[in-house]
Amino acid sequence: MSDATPTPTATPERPQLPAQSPPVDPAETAAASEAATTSNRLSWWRGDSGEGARRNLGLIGVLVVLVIIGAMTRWDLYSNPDWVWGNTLTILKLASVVGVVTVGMTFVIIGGGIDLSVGAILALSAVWATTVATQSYGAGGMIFTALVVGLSVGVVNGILISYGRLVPFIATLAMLVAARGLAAEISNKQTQLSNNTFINNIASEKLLGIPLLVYILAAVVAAGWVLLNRTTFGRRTVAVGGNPEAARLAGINVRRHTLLLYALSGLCCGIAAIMLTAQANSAQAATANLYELDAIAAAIIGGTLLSGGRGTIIGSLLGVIIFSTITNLFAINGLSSEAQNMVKGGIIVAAVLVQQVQFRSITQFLGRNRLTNS
Amino acid sequence: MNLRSSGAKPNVSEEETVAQPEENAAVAGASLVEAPADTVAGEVVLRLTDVVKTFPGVRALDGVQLEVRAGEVHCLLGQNGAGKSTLIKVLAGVHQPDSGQVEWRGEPTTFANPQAAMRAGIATIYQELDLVEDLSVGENAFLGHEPRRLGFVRRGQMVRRTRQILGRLGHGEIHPKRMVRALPAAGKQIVSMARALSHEARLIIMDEPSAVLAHDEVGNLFRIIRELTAQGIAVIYISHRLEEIREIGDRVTVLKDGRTTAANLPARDTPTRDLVSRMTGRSIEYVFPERPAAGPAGAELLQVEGLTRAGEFADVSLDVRAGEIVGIAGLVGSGRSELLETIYGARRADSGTIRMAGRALRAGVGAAVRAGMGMAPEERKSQALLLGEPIYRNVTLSTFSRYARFGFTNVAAEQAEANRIAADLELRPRDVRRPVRTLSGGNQQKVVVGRWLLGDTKLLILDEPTRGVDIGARAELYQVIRNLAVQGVGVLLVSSEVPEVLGLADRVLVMREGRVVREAPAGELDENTVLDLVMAGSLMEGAPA
Repeated sequence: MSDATPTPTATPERPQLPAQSPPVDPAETAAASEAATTSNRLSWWRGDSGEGARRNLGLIGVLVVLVIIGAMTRWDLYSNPDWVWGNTLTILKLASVVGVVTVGMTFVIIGGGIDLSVGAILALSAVWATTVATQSYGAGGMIFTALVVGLSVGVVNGILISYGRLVPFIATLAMLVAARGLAAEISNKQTQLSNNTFINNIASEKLLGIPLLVYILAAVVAAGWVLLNRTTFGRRTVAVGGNPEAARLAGINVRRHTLLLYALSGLCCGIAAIMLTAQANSAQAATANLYELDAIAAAIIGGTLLSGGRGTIIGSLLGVIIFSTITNLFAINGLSSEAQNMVKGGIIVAAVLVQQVQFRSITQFLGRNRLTNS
Repeated sequence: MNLRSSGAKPNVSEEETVAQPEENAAVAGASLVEAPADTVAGEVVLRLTDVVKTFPGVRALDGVQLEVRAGEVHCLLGQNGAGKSTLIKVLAGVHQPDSGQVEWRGEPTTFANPQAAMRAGIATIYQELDLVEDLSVGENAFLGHEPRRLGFVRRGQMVRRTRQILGRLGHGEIHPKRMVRALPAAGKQIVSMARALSHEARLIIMDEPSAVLAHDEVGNLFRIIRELTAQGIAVIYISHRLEEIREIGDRVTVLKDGRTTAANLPARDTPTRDLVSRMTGRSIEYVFPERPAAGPAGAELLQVEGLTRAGEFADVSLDVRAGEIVGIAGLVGSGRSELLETIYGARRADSGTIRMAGRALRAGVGAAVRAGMGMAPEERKSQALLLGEPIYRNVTLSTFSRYARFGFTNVAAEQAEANRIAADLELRPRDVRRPVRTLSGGNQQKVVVGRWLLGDTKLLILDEPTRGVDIGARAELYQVIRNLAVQGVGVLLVSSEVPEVLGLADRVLVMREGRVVREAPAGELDENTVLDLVMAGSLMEGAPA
């Protein structure tokens, strides 16, 4: 219907874009590419939203403050660069298992849901992967079992929520109880030792001086980032969480997508189960206790909106790292974990308060802006 | 003083109306407040002058004048979106006006919160009754101001006083200790009224009280209203049903687009056409694109046969050809929006068939979209837009997968396409990376319509496409819709504004109470005929006997 042909401008290079896709006329793409390039250049590290970037900078600021506090309280340790490097790896390793779970959780929350069963799924996957029978199939069998169990439980969650119309909170709460029960049944309430050296080595091996667990975390985070920011899956997640009715009326299959989100969360738990088994050289039904709360808290202080539609993977990662840095800070100062939990609680409240203020001021600003324009 | 029995017949010639100058309702507003003296004798309890209330992106109230006297039933008339709800919330203290004056019993007032309004004597009965279902009748009536001593609720006194109030309302049979959940809708409404009386309200606002009632219960409601007004209590009564306004109302104030378009009309004797025209805003200059000379009829596109959804619409058959604009005229509640959503697959039909290009459609929105349907729903913000997301992502919300390759989105292509659409539709601002939240209503609507210009939409379903859209943007939207039809897209359109349907559509269906009562080429119908058809039974000339 257009006779208004856009005037082609000089095309700057667009580095990270795939080749032109079929339905687009090259001339039109060229016309818009200047704007597009700017946005892509600005957004490659911040997930397409200036707001998110500012918040992530704030989180990095919090990390810096925590490190400064660490340095001030234990200068004897921090004055040694080797110790600092080693400690950084310790923090990242500490963050790795919850970090992987949090990536899945972030997707679920952005998609408008919540998954309370992640800790239980993790425990069930770990227990199932370490039964005598499973271990007889070797490392491959154990990894396969953990992933399939995690994925399947996630699918069950998804079916209950999207097709059974259960409230996510209830469905995953029920799964929390049921999955831990099944894990206890399978393990007969015993701690199951992992005799597989390949699995056990995942936690101890290093590559270029960095623990394998950190690489796994990095890979999952990178995959999560790409999935959220560069794929149709991520776009649907934001749409389904931001305005499910609009998404539905736009032709998006909201139910199927909701199912996939919980499946993804379950899969992340499966990956985390292997990591945790490797760390402990064993698995038991009570493992990964309250991981759901750590993951939800990390996602929320990372700027994920609990009502859905907004959130970043990088923010969630920073949230997890902040938590493990606090744990580390208390550990190096020889303080109790009780005090640590109180500080964590305070940080969650503070983060949400800061978010609300930001959000309110932004909407007010936009509202005013529009009225003065028109 | 019983107004009903006073038998005073107000004179039609005394009606005062605002000529509705576009920006200047305020000047004319000064002349509004003189009411026919013989209509209402009570003192003025409430007077609103030039009240303005703005929300981000919308001027919900844009100069409202209202005058309510003690002992009268003052009716508020206006279409959805005219600002009635906002006005009620201002009076109830939920919102505070940005400017203008609220005079309550002679003194300029602002109600900081709902409690303040209640203490002052203004009680509101909302459409969605705000009762706590699992508390008793008495507990609901005195919710928030229970009679108490030393922090303990004096249950006995509460029950006694509730029984008293219920008796005053003529419903002594409702037991104060009964759970509200167990009451029928009419009973719940009585409880809401009891609550108003427990506050010793001098003004009771009733937002469509008859909507939840069966026919015979409405008579009882009116009896209670008359008793209240006889005690000098003022009532603001909101209803879409003109028949009721004629029966119970004393004076009528009409709102349109947040402005008072007519104040203090006598409720019984103002001709229906006057009321309707002030509600629907005939003063708007409609600029419709010209219809193309009748070409060969396009191919059969949409065929609906015997579509029924219990309680919403029944036995609707219609068809839309390629390149044709079919308009549906009907009041809110005539089943038109539900019909559109059912055709679009968003609701499941009880019976009937929907065919696109001769092929029966599977259930679900996905199937409808794949078959080439697109829809701009009635509630833009809650049903169509991701307000915080950029414009381009809203434009490509149903097509982004097409630009993707192996599941990876192609943002550059999407922005290019969105830019093209923005240029076609003269979207302002043009920058497609801005969040949709920052756009005006008209431009948000362009984004929703623009969404379906991408991809291969064969049938566009538009539900109230121009609601909340300013006049300039309306003309542009009309042109866009016509251009689409010229290109062979079929359009199925619903609007409350009859001139819009008549001016834009090629063929018109009139719906009333869930049924199609007339179908004709637009040229064969005029506005009066359609209005009569639309309102027959619900909007009657003069007062019923």
